[in-house]
Amino acid sequence: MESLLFFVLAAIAVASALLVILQHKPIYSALWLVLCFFSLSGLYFLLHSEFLAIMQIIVYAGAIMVFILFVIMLLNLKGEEAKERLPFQRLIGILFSLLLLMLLVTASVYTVSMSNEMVQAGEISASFGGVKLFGKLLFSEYLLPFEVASVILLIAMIGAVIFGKKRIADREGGPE
Amino acid sequence: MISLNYYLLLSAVLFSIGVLGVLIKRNAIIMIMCIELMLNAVNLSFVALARYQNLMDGQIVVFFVMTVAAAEVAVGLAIVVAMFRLKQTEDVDEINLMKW
Amino acid sequence: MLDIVWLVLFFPLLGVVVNGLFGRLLKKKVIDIVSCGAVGASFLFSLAVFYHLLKLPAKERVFEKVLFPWIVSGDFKSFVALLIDPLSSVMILMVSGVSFLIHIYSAGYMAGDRGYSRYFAYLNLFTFSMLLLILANNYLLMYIGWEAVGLCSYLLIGFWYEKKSASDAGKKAFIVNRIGDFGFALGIILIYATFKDLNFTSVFQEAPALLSSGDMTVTLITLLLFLGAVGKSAQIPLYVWLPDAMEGPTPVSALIHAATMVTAGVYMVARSSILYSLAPLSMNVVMVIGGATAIYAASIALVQTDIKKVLAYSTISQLGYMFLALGVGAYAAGIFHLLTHAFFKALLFLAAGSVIHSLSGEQDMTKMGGLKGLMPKTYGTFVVAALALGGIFPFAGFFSKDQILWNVFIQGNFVFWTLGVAAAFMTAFYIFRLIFLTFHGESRVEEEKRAHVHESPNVIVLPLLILALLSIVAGLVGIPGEGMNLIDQFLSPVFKSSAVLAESNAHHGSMALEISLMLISLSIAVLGIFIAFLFYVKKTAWPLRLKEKHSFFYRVLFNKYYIDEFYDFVIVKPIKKMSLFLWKGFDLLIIDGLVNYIASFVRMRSETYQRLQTGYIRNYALYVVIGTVFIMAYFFLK
Repeated sequence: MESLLFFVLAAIAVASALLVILQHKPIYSALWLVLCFFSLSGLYFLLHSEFLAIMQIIVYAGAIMVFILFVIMLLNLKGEEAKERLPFQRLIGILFSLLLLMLLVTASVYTVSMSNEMVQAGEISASFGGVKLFGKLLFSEYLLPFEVASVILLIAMIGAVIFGKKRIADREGGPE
Repeated sequence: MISLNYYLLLSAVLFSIGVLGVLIKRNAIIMIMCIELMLNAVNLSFVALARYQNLMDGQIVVFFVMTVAAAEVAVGLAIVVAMFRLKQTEDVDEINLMKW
Repeated sequence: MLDIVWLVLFFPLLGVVVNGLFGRLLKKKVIDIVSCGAVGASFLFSLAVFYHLLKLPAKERVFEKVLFPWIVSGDFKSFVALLIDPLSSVMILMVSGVSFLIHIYSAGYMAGDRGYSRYFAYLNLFTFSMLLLILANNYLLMYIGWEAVGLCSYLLIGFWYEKKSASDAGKKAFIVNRIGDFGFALGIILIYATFKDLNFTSVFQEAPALLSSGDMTVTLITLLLFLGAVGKSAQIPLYVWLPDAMEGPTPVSALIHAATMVTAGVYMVARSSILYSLAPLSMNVVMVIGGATAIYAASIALVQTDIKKVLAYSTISQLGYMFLALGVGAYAAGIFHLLTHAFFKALLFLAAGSVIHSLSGEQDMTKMGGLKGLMPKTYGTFVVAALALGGIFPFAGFFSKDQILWNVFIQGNFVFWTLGVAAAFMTAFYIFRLIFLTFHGESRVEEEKRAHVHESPNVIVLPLLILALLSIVAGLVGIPGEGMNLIDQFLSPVFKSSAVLAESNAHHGSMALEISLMLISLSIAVLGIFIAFLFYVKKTAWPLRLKEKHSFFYRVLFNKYYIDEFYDFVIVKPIKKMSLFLWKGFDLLIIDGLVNYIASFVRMRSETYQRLQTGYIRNYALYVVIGTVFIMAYFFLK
């Protein structure tokens, strides 16, 4: 049962990821990415990380993707033009990402299989992946990173606001 | 049952797709989306490893990755908007002044 | 008690420091007191050293004083140390004494000159260097003094450096000296290689044991050392700098190029007498060059018109006599002549300076004449010096020159004895020619200068008088005959070992033979004076007729056998051409070209690599991925 679910969700994830980069119009890419996130969330459920699965949907699919969709609509993007200025970029890019894939596959398949114990699904506690346990760990050991993360968010907010402001020269009806 | 290897393999595939996307696509927003894809691939491997080692720490890391990803997207899109205002295009190849 | 010898060196050095650093700020009187006082103190201490040396028994008159270690490098140790023995003590007496008189003279002669303090600083430095050269107890320290006197000579010859001929003369002196110094340095290196030591006492003790007579090594050493002497003491073929050196102030010519520096070569050969006694070939070379130079230079002096040039060639000629003596093993005789020559040659130069000074710089004898009555004291001392130079009894030069000729004769070198006598004839002739042209007859002085002609002030005349006195009595220490020849006795312990080695050549002639030879040379000298008298006082038309009849010979002699032109053509011009080629052709073209090529090569390369910075973000992302792949691959493959 579990394996079936895994393979289905994995297939959906890979397929939608591929479609993200194959589309011409950015809006279609965004929608396929949302699907990808959903399938990932399903995988998290499979891995007994309920909290993170929900978080994934709320934050990624719900907030980030919505944001991106907003920007796409705001900029009224038309899609890619045909002219390609960098001929070799595509070729070499495909080549090296394939190489990267091979390396990563080697890493994940061959090296991790060394230690057998870890590979098989072991026993986990019932509350594993739950909010309670998550919160406990977050507010004890990882308290400092937690606070720092809030600072990061603050800074990002400020940065976004500054970038978004219209310059004084652009504003109509300026000081003079 | 599903061994860890499969999850890591999936993560690797998603990551490479993300890299491919960053290298190939000219649209700035699609590039940002591909970066998000890469981050998610990494998240997946963290969660998988956490599960198979019975440690919650992996999930905490994923939490922070999500936070940072959110912040980064915010700033990144702000840059894209500013860029659009300047050049009236979302093609990153138009931004090519930092050269010799 | 002999410990105080270092004070002989200390005072002139102090004078250099004071005059050199503060001279500009001091008044003339202070400079005079400091510099003359320094050398005067040096002279007093030399006297003290001499006195204490005399008190020691004859066999023990050797004293070494180590001042401080100088170079200590592994096995090589060199010390600043001084050696007192009869040879060095008479030399320092002469050097400090004559230098003192010349300092006093200079105070009068150089008064008003712009570089007054500089002059005395240099003069003190020279005195210090010469004394260091003499007192050194090893070859390395002597070489330092040797080079230093060369430097001072350059500085003082080119003292009036704004005049091109003066600075050229300074350069010529230094460069020609360098050739000799090169030989000297090689000789020193060879000595070290052979004896592993440079100290006089050790080398001279080991030499007879280590090397056999006529050995290749010792012949080479002595020839190389002699090359240095040839340069410094102006023998053939390196004498060409000395006539040009007359560009310097006359007191400088008196001190350096008559009495002291040029005698350094003679001193050095005499000091190395043991080495020379082991190399008969070198001694022959010394003798031949000395004798040839003596007559060669005398012949040039016969027709020169510049008063200082006559004296310059005379110096070269007399130095030839000294080397002639050394070459036949008569070391004491050579040193004796060195001492007497110092007195009367310095006197000649100083007196000539007095004449030049009163004639407002006139040096051409054809524009002099009739000064006898106007400058009596100068005239008187001049005649005394001329008689000494000419070798007239009982003046100093008579005894010393005679000793040399006697020693040459009894060694069987009749050819060189004849040459020496011929040169003596020429010497008497040219020096009295000088006197008659300068002081006798009608005045040929230019109109503007006639009014200024006067006897020089006391500060100039006093040293002349003292030197004149010395020129008269100095000979008495060398009267031949057992028990009478004081100087020979005094110096003989120094040269005893060399004499022992040269035993095979030792001859002893009879007293009668010596006296008859003396009479021959005396009459030849008197004949020379008489003929000069005839030519320049009585029958003044004769020199002109002779000049016209034998104009070729006259021109050759007057132009110094065209040697300078010859050297210029054979040596100087080729070197200049080669230097020009090496500069334009080699340095500019090849070396600069190479460096420039490397630079442009780097630039071309970097221009190629510059193209990696395209400005496109996607390219940069690609670079990141490529790098990541390579790093990961590296770690996997390990």
